[in-house]
Amino acid sequence: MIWLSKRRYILGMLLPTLLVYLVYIILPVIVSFYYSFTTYTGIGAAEFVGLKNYVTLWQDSLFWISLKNTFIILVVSIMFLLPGAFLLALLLNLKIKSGNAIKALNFAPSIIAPILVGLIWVFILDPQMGLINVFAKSLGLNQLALQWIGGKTLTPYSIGVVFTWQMIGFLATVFLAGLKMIPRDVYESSSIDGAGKLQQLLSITIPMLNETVKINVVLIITGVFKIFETVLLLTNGGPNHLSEVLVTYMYNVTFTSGEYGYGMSIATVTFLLTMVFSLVYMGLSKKNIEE
Amino acid sequence: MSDLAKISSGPVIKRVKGKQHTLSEGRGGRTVLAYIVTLCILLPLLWMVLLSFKSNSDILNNPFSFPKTISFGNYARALETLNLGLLYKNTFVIAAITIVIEIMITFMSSYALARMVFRSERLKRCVTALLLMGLAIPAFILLFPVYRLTIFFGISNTYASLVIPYIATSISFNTLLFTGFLRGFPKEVEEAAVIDGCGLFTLGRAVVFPIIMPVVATVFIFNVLYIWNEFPFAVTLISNEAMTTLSLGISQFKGRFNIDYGGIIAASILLIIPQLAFFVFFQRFIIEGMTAGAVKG
Amino acid sequence: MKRKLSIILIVCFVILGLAACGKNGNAGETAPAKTAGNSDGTDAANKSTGNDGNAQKAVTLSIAMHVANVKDQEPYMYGIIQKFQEKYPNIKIDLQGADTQEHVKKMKMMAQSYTLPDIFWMLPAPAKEMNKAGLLLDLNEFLQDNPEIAASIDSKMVNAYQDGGKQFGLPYQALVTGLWYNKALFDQYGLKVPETYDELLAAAKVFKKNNVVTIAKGAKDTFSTWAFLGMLTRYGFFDKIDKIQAGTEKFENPDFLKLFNKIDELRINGAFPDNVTTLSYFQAVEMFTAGKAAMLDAGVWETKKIESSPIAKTVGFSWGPTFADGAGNQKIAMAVAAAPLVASEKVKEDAAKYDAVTKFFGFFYSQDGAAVMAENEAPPVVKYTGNVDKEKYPVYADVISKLNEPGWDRPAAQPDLVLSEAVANQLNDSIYGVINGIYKPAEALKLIDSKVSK
Repeated sequence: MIWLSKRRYILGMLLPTLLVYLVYIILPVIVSFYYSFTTYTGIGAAEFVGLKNYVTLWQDSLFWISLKNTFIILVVSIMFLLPGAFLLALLLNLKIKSGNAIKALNFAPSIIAPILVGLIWVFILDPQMGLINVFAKSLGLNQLALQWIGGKTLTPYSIGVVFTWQMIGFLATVFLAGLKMIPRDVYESSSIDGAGKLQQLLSITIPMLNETVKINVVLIITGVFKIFETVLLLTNGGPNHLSEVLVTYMYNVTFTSGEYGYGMSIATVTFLLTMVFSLVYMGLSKKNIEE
Repeated sequence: MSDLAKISSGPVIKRVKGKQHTLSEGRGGRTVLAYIVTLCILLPLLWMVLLSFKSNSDILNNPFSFPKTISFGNYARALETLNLGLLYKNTFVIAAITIVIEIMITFMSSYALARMVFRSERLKRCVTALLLMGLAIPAFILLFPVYRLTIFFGISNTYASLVIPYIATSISFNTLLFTGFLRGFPKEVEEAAVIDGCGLFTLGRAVVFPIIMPVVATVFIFNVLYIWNEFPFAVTLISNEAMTTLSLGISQFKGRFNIDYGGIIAASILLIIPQLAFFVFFQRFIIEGMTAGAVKG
Repeated sequence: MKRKLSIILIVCFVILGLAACGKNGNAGETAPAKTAGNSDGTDAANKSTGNDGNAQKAVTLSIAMHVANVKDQEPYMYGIIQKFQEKYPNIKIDLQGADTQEHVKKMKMMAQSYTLPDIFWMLPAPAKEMNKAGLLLDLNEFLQDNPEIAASIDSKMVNAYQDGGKQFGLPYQALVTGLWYNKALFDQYGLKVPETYDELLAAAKVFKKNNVVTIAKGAKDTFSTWAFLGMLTRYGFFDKIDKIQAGTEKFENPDFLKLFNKIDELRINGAFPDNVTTLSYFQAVEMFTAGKAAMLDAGVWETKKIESSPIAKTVGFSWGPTFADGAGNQKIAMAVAAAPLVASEKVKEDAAKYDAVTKFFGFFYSQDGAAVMAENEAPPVVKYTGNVDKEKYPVYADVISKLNEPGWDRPAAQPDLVLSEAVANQLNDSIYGVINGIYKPAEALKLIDSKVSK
C-alpha cells in the first residue's frame, strides 16, 4: 500500500469530505460553542458572559436529572439492545422461509416516523389506558400495573425499551452485513477440523465481528445521547421535567424558553460527554484486541 | 488480475451459497422462532394499521376496540391533503443527488483513512476522530448556523440547500461503517492487485468497492432512509411549497392546538409501505454481495 | 499533481454547481405560477417578483403562518387570503407555513439574517424582542390612516402590542379562554354549573365518586393552562406584575399561594384525570367531547370542533370560577389579544410592497374579513355587526353572548403573554407541577421567582 500512499493522493481522497464537513459541521459547532458563552435569545445581539451558563448548568438540578435519565437509557440499551440485535442477526442469517420479507419486517420499526413511535407506545405504556396495564389488570395482576410512563421513576427504563424496539432491526442489519463479510471458508475449514456450532460462534463469529460490535456500540451511545422525539411524544419530559433527557431538555431551554445561549451550553456538555464515552469505549476495546 | 476477475463472477457465489445451507436439521424450528420474534416486533405496527381505520375520537377513547366499520376516511383525507407526487419527486431528487456524492466522497476518504499509509499515524487518528465526532452532534445545534450558511451561499429554497447538509451529516455515519468494515477485512486482495500494477482509481473501483458491496448497500439504505425521514433541516430550510419533502407531510395534520391522529397514522402507513418495499428490494444487495470466495485470491 | 488538483476542483464545482442548478430548476417551476392568474393562494412563488419594469405593477407578498397546512388548519386566514386576492388581482400572495414550534424557530432564524417574510404570525414575547431589534414595521401610521379600523378593534387588544412608542403588531385573533362545561353531566348528578370555587370543589367531589373527570387537562402540553391563568388574574396578577418584574414583589406572595393551594386541593379531590401526566391537550379535548369529562380548560378555538361533536347541544362556555378570597375584581373575562400579526420593517423600502401590506391589513380588519371569521366560527377581533344563526351554531352563539355579557372586565392580556418566554414557560410548568402532584404550591411559586431573577 505504501506505493499508493503519496501525500497528494491522500489529500485528494480526503479533501472533498473534509471540505463539506468543516464548513457544514465543524464551523456551526464552533459558532454554537461561542453562543454557549452568551445570553443569546435567538433574536438581537448576544451578550458575552463568560462561563456563567456553565456555572448555572452545574447548579441546575434539571440538567442532572436529564443526565441521569440518559444514563439509565444507555445502560438499558447496552444490556438489551446489543445482545438482542446480535441474536436477531444470527437468527436472520439462517435460512428461513421468506427470509427477505422477515428481515424487512424486523427493520420496519426503524423507518416509521418518530412521532408515530411515540403515539403507538403511549397506548401501550399509559398507566390508565395502556395495553400493558389493561392486560395486567384483566388478569388480576394489579401489582404489575405500574406507572410505566408519567410517574417519577420508570419512564427512562420504558424509553430504553422503546429505543430498543426502534433500533433492533437497524443494528441487526449492521450485524448482518458483518456476518456476511466473514469469509465462508473459515467456517468450512473449522467444520472439517470438527468444530461444533457453538464453538464456531465463540471462536470465529464473535471475534471476527469485533469491528461490527464496535460500530454498533458507538451507534448505541451516540443514538442514546440523541434521543428526542420518543421522549417528546411519550411524556414531553414530564411530569415536570422528571423524565427529561439531555436533548429534550436542551430543546426545551433553547427553543421553548428562548434561552439559546444556555441551551447551547447544555448542547456542548452533551456533545463532550458523548465524545468521551465513545472514545473511552473505543480505547478500551482497542486494548482488548492488542492483548 | 485474473484472480480478481473470478471474484466478481457469479458462479463462485452460487457455489458457496449452495454449500452454506447444507444443514437442514431444525430448519422448521428456526423458522417458527423467526416468525414469532418478527410478530412481537411487528405487533405495535399491526395495531397501528388497525387504528388507521378508526375515527380520531375512537383512536383516543377506545383504542382497543375493533373498528366496527372499516372506514377509509383517514386515508381519503391523507391522500387529499398530501401532494404525494410532488413530495416523492422532491425527496427522490434530493436523495439521488445526495447519495451519489456522499457515497463517493466518504468511500474515498474512508479508504484513505483505513488503508493508506500516513506519514504521521497520529494525524490519521485525529482526522478519523474528527470525522466520527459528527455522530455525537444533535441536528438542533446545527440549525441556526446552517441556515445562515444557506443565506450566505445564496442557495435558499434550492435542492442544494438540503443536499449539502445531508451530505455533511452523513459523513460521520458513513466513515464509521466504511472504515470499520475496511479495517476488519483482510488486505491480501488489494495487495495482490497492487502488485499486479493496479492504480489507485482502478483499485478502488474494480477491487475494493465490489468487495465491500454489503457495506455500501447498508450505507446506501440507511442514508436513503435518513433523508426520507429527516425533519429538522427540511422544515427549517424549505419555505417554498414546491420544494417540500415527504418528511414534512406529517406536519400538514397539525394545527395550533389540534392534531389529526387518524390522518397522521394513515399518511404514515402510506409512506411506510414504499419504504419497506425499498428496503426489501435493496437488502438483497447486502446478502448477495461478496461472500466467501472473495478472499480466495 | 495538476490532474489531481483539477479533480478536486471539479468536485468542489459540482457541489457549488448544484446550488445554481437547483436554483434554475426552481425558477423554472415557479415561473408559470407567476404569470398565471392564481386562484390558489398556496402556489409558491419566488420572492423576487421580476416584474419590476412591467406597466402593470404586480407585487408578491410573502405571508408566513404557524401551521403547515393553512387551508385546513387556519381556514379563517386562508379564506381571507382568497378573498383578498379576488379583490386585488395584482397582489400575489406567497403563503408559507410550518407547525407552531418550527414556525417560531424559523422566524427567529430569519430575523437573524434579515430575511423575514413580509407579514407573519408570531408569539408576543419574541415579537417584542424583534421590535426591540428594529425588525418590525410600526403600524401606527396604518392605524392613523384607517381610523374606522382603529375604532373597531378593542383598544386593550391594540395596546397589547405597543412597545417603545411603536405599534409592532395587531391581534391575529382574539384569545378567549375559560372553562367549557357539559351541562348534561351536571344535570345527571343534580349539580349546578359552578360559578364560584366552592361550587367547583363540591362538584369535583361528587364527580370523583362517580368516576367522572371534573376538568379535562393534559400535562404533556404544558401550554394548556388557560383557565388557571385566568384565575391568576382574580388574585391580582396585573396589580402585582410590574412590582414582580421590578423585583419588589414575588410570585410567592400570599394571594398567589391561595390560588396554588386551591389547585392542590382540586388535585387531592380528584378533579383532574388520573393519567393527567401522560395526556396531551388534544386527548383532553377528546375526553370532553366524548362526554367523559364535565369541564374542559380551553378556549373558543374549539368551538367548531365542539359544535360538530355529539355533546354540542348541552355545552356551554364559562369564564371560570370566582373566588371568595380573591384579590380585586372577580368578574374578569379572559378575552384578550392572541398572538399578533406583524410585518417586516423591510417592506418600507419598497413603496409598492408597503402599499400592498397596508392593503392586506386593511382587508384583514374590514367587515369583509370579519365575515370570513364568523363563517369559520373564530373569535372576533373587530366588532362584527353580522348575525349568528343560533339554531345552526348553538355553541358559537353561546360564546358570542358570553362575550357581550355586560358587567365583565377584560384584562390587558393573558398573564403568560406579558412575561418573557422563560418565565412564562416556568409559570405553566409550575401550575402543572401542582396538578401533577410533583410540586408543593409554595415550591412551585418559588421556581417561577428563580426564573424572574435570572
